[in-house]
Amino acid sequence: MIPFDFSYHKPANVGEALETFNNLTKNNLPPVYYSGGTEIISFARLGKITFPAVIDIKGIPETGFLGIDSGYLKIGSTVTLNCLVAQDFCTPLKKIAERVADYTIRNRLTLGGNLCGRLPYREALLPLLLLDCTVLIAGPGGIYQQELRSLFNKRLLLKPGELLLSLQIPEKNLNPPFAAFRYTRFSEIDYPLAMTLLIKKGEEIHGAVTGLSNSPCLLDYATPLFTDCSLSKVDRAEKIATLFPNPIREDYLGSAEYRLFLFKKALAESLRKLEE
Amino acid sequence: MLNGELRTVYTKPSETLLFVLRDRLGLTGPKRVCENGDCGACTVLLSGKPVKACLILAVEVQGLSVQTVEGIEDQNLKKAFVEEGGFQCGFCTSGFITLTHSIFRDFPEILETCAGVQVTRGSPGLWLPTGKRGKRDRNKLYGHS
Repeated sequence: MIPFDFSYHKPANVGEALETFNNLTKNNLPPVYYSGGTEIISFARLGKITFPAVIDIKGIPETGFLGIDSGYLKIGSTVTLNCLVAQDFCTPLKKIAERVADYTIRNRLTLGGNLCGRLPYREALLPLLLLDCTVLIAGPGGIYQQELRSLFNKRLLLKPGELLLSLQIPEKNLNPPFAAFRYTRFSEIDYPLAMTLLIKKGEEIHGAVTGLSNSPCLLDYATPLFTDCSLSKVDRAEKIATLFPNPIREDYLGSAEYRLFLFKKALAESLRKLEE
Repeated sequence: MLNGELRTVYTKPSETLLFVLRDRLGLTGPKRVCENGDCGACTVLLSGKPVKACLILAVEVQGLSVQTVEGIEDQNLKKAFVEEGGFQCGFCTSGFITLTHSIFRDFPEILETCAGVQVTRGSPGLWLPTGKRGKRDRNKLYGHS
C-alpha cells in the first residue's frame, strides 16, 4: 500500500503518452513514467519518492517488442529481464540480466527500469554500452535515435518528459567473447560490490564496471592496458584499478578497499578467461 | 480473472495487488511481510508468471489472470511440503508453494536434475539459510513421486 494517492494513466501509444505527460504537467501534476514498478512502489512506500500521477507505458507497442529486425536486436524498454534471459539473443546481456535481483522480481523488472531507475547500479548498461547500442527516445520534440554512449553520463540523460522507447544492438555485435563477474557481500542476490564485464572486439578488450563507484563506469582508459602483454594479468588488473578515475564507493555493504580488491580480482579472472 | 473466476473490485491506484487480494477479496494466502519485494511470502502468479504481489499496483492487473495459492490444485506438491517438512514457521509456505508450482511447470527439467534449489535460490530467499536441505529433499521427493 502506498501512503499517498495518485492518478494512474495507461496510454495506448506514444502520442497519447506524451499528451498525457504534457497535460498532467500543465495542471501541476508532474507524473512519473511507470513500467515494472518494482522500484517506484518500494520507494514510494518508504516515502523516498512521491508523485501525483503515474503513466504506465506497458500499453505502448514499441516498448514491448523484442526481436531481430533489419540487422538489429530491438529491445523495448518494458521487456522484462527474465524475458531477456529466456530469449537469449545476446549472451552478455543475458549473463548480466540473470544476476539482477531474484527470479520473481525479474518477472517484473524491466530493462528500461533497470537503466532509468534511481538505484545506482544499472547493471544492464554494461553490455549495452560495450555493444554499441542506440536508443529510441520519444519526447516533446518528437521521436529520435541516439547512441547510448552519448546519452550516458553516470545515468541516461533524458530530458523532462522524454520516454525511453527501445534499444537496439547491431546484430553483428550480439555475441562477442566476454567475461562477466559479479561479487556481492552476503548472498548471490544482493547489490553488487563490483560487477565487471569485459568483451573482446577484434584484438582489443573493452570493459565496464558497476558497483565500484556511484555509477556505472566505462573502462575506456584501460583498453590499451587490457592487452599489454608486457605485464602479467595480475599486474594489468592492479594498474587498471590504480588508475580508476572515480571515488570508490564505501557503504554498509563493503569498504572501498574491499571493493577495489574485488575489482582487481574480477579483472584478473576476466583477462584469464578471455585469453584462454 | 482470479483463480479462474471473473472478479470485479474497485480500487485506488495506490493500492497494491497484495492489499486488494487480502483486504478487499479475503484471499489471505499471499502473506504481508516485508512489502519490499525481498521475502516472497506474497508470491502469486500473474498471467502464469510468479511475481510479488506487494510490488504490483492492483489497477495494473485489470484484464489479466491472477492465481494465488488458494487456486493451486497441485495436491502432490502440497502433500510433498507436508510430508517432507518444507516449512520453518510455515508463514511463508504459500509463497513457496506458488513459486515451486510455477517452476516445476515452466522448467520441467528441474524434476530430472533436482536443480530446483538453483532456481529457488534466485527467488524468495530469506528462508534459505536453514531451509535449503529441506527444500532440496522435498523437490527430490516430488520429482520422483
